[in-house]
Amino acid sequence: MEPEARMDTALQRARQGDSAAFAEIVREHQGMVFSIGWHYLGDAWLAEDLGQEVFLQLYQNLGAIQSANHLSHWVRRVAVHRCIDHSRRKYFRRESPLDESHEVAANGKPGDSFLSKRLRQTVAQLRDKERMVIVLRYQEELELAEIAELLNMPLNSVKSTLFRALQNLRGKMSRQVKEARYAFF
Amino acid sequence: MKTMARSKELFAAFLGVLLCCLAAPTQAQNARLKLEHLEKLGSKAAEVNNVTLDGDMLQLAVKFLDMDKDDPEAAQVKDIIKKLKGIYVKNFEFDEPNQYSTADVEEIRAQLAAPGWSKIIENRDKRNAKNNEIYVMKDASNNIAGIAILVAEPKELTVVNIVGPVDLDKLSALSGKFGIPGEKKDKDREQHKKKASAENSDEEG
Amino acid sequence: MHFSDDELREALRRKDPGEAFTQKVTARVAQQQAGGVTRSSAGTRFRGFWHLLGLRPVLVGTIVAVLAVGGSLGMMKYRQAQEARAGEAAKRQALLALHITNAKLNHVFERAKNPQSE
Repeated sequence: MEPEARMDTALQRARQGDSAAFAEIVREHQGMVFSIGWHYLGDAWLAEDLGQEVFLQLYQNLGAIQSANHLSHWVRRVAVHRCIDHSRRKYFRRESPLDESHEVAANGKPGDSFLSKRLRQTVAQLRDKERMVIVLRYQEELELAEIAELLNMPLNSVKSTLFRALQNLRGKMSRQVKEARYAFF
Repeated sequence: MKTMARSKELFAAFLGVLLCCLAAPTQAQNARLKLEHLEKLGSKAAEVNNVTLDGDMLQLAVKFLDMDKDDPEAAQVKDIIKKLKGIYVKNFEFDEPNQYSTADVEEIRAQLAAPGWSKIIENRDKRNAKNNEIYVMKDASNNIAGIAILVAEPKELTVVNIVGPVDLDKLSALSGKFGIPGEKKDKDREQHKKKASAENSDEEG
Repeated sequence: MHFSDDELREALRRKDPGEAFTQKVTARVAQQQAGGVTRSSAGTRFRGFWHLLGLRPVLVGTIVAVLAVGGSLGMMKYRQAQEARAGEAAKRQALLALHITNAKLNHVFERAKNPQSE
């Protein structure tokens, strides 16, 4: 069965109280929700907590979800906005470099490259808006117009934010290499 | 008479010991800087790193670092921090210059002018408004009881305050971790710097 | 350091938190469901429950004992999980603090040795 058709069926059954169907919906979307949280907040535990809240909210609003397509958009939107809200509430914007120690199952490759790790850690250092635009563009592969709609931003702002974010990312990566070359003491 | 004189001697000795005991912990307390006035800069900064680690949380960090048996870096870090009383870091990076005032920095320098603190390194670049300083506080036995690092540049203000017996050799031995390569000789250092600037100008070109 | 769009995409590839996460979500949903059922039919079930109490004191005692033990274990696990989180956070803060200290010491010493380096 096509994934969308499968989700449509699961959605119908979940609305009728089928917990296995709801679990199927969770499994289908948990990678997206967790990864948005993890890459944005830089904290796997927080991403898990947030993810649970998103799915709890989904459960409470199943009746409002019209289709599998709507479901994906809805879940993504809620995950993104919860991340942003959480980030705004905290003065301490970054507790630590991205915690890479959290065990991830499935497609978390053990041989994840050094570059990938450094990139994730550097993305975690970007400003809130820039970080979210990068995550939506490169993790979710959304079009700029979709990002604008999701974040309630003008399209031009998304473009300039993305441009600045990539510049900052490149700058920070270069600076880290420069610092690494300086001897210490 | 003799008994009275003896009692007075004993009392004076006791008082002396008591004062010494009181002085020792006071030294450690003095090594802690008051940095609360910097909190307001958080709203202006593009990037903020704020660490306050002391008491139970510091002990918890030591405990959890100790649990990482397979990680030599964790073991080194644990070794450095296990005897510390507190680690306080305020790091602000701004998009625009002049987002913090001289008064903000002078309030910290005033604390570092107190007895016990000595400035061991200072570099001032008036042209570019960059002032960087390192201070240490030593106890009666001439051991380090605290350090303070102050980096005040146009788009950055960083204060690091570590309270307790910091082993600077071990702190320096952390080079090789956090992506920083090990200590190089001066000649190699120069070559690396030249190579880095050549690569950067290639990237920009 | 240069990186391509593909490398950035690879770095930010979605990671699945695993079946354990799914179980946690479904457990919370089930908990919420159970709470909802109790509230909505509290009247009749409440009466029935007290009737059961009167008739089966041993059963009730057993249930209470199991709940107490389960509750304590649950609290213990919750506290352990809380401590684990706090410990991990404290550890990360320590690593961050030393990372910044190391970088700034490096920065100051480097500038002291090579004033023209910036």
